[in-house]
Amino acid sequence: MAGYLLRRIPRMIVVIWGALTVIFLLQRLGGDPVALMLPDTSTPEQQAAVRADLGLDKPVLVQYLLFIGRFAHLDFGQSYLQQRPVADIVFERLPATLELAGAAVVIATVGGTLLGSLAARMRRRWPDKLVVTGALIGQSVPTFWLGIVGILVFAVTLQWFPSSGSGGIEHLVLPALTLGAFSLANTTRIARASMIESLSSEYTQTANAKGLRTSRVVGVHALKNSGISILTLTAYMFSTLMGGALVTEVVFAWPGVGRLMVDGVLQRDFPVVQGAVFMVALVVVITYMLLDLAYTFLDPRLRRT
Amino acid sequence: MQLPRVRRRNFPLLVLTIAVALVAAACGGGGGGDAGGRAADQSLIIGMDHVTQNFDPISATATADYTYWRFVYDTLVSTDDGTPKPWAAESFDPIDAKHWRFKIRDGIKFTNGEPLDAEAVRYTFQRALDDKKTPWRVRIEALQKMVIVDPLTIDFYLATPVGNWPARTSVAWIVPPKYTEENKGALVTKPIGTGPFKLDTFSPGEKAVLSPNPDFWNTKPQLKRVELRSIPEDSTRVSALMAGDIDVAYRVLPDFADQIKGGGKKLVSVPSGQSANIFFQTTTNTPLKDVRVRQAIDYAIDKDALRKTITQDYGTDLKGQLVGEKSVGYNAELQARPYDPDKAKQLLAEAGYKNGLTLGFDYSLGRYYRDKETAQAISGYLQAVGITVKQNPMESGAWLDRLYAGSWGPINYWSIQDAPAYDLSWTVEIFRSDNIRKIDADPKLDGMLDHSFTITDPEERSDYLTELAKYAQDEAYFVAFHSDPGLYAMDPSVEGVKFLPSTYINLFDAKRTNGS
Repeated sequence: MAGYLLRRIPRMIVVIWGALTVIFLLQRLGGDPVALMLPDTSTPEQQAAVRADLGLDKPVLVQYLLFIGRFAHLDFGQSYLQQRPVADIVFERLPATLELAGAAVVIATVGGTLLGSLAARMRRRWPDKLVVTGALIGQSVPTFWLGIVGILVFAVTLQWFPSSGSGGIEHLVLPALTLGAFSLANTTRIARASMIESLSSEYTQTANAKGLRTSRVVGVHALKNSGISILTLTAYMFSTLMGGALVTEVVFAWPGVGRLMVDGVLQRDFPVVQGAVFMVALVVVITYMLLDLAYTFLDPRLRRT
Repeated sequence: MQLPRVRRRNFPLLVLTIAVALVAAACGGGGGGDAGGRAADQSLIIGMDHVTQNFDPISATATADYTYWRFVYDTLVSTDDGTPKPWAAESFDPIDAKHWRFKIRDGIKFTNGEPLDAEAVRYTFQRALDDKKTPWRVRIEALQKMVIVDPLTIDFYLATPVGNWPARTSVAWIVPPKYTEENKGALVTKPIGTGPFKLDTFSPGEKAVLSPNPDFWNTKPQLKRVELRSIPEDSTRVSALMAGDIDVAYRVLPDFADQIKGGGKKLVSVPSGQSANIFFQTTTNTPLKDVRVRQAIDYAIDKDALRKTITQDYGTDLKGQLVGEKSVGYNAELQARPYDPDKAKQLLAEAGYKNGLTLGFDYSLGRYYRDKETAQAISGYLQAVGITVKQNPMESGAWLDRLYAGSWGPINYWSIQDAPAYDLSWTVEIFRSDNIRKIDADPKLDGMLDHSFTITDPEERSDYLTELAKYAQDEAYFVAFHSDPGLYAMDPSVEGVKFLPSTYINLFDAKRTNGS
């Protein structure tokens, strides 16, 4: 196990370095941040002073080397706007995104598995058709539209849930359902396909022939073998949702890292964007590392390799 | 081969049904807001399009942040009514256009007990001047020295005449010297001011919660708690109001007006100080050096139709001027050039462009209210009179880069803010010959602007600036269209909230009622 982890660490560093380099370059392609920071009526002297203060007057290569050097020491710098350490800002927001993405993953995984199983068990009957149609719609509808309509129906008209912001679990329902809708649809289709395959297999036929209850056949034998696919999908979903939550966070005014990145990009607050990207990249690589570890528990064949 | 038949018990369906029922039962009923409870408690939640990230008046970067600072800080002068009035200063008088004396009200204290006196004022201005990054430093950069005459009197000496110096102090937010020096960086999240409110909790960019300052020197607010909550998505902000989660929705789009009124909420329209304009670059060798071409462009555009369509009639007709009606320099006798495509073609023919011409048109995407739609509509009008428009839409940062480099246009869509100065000279400064944006090079305009700064008498200054307004319009250095819509929606139980063209919110008289 220790050896496995040690072998993974260099790869993780390369992935994170790559993400940071891409974001560093992309940000600098977007124009002078100083121009956006100051009023339209600012003077060249003012702009030069701000540029020098922020280190933006140095050559891009020098800026990059300083930037990578700081990150190597886990120094993410200070926000241009908030004048506070970026690490503080990102860590304040990270739990909210983890909460939202986690809830969305739970909805997608549990809901998708149950719906996919139901559809597989009742293949070609109306529940299957209903689930498949629902999954198709779920994969087609844009997230922002779904969120806005969800607010109008469930918050304004029915008044079941709050319209925006964070707080108790009631605040989490609509954003999590919105964020998880696409993944729920995706998981449903994959779980359905995987379950159909499992239920058609010889070991399932044997289990049925032995007279086992359907729930045991599906829930223990079939599901366990579909589990690797579902787990892989879950990890993929979580990492995607971590980075893709920003639309949902903006629609629902959810105070997460996604909104922080949007604000940072719009206001050219480079350090904040870089710090947020670093954190999301770190969460993603850790997620996949844990996934690899989980494989070894699910599949005995992998433990021997 | 056949799959096993479904038995009476269908486990996945059963679990799913129970799960959905449990979630709905546990979470349902969490909506509906608590507007009634907040009204009874004199509490107010305002859904904002953004929340400041920084309460330090010299390090924040957006004029929209002034909206937040004025809850906590005071300035020497207020321009809420359009003309400078004493605020923390009891009086201000010009000794001459380069020397002003301000007397400060006695007894004003910061919430930490420090006095707002001449030393606090001197410290505030010096701090802003010392830091070249201060966003509003350009407004006070003529300040050469300050002399404290007595604890409540300070003299400002200026390097050049500044006839509207009092208006310029309206963006200098006064901070406590001792607290600021001893707690470097503290003002960002823990501001100490003399304003009507104090900051209780602050999540930068998310939420600011205020409570009344018990030692405020003026009318104490009736509200007990004010929460400024960031809801950047326009439709969500309106939905939050309709759901009762917030009490005021700040700056709503005209698209939601019917929904708001139909839902029993109040809609307030306050003309914005932000105006839609196009500017012409006359410093380069383009057809726009000819005033007839510029005037032709003005005649070619149906400004009334533009305003009705773009702002859904919630914007104000600026009548061809850069400032609003209550601003210094507004000329009530001026009218915008009417929509007259034939006249436009005639002027182009006289200028030698009977067969048309091609002009570049820069505009930003999403920086200003409906900038893309307005610019495209303008392009359509110009095409109709024979001007081929080469549109250059670009992202905000790229647009600014070109503007500062002076290499734009020669037509540029630019929305400018009249408030909080409400003074034409504040706006016209960008037309100076030495301005890096290279809009114009007109010695007469430069001279008129310089002369306006030597006049300290407000009425005389206003009269002179109206002449400048006429000259600028005659020369057609710009075409002014309309002010942006300024719409605010609120629950019927909210009274006394006042919105200003400068985006400021006055809560001095605000209170909650039973809404009947």
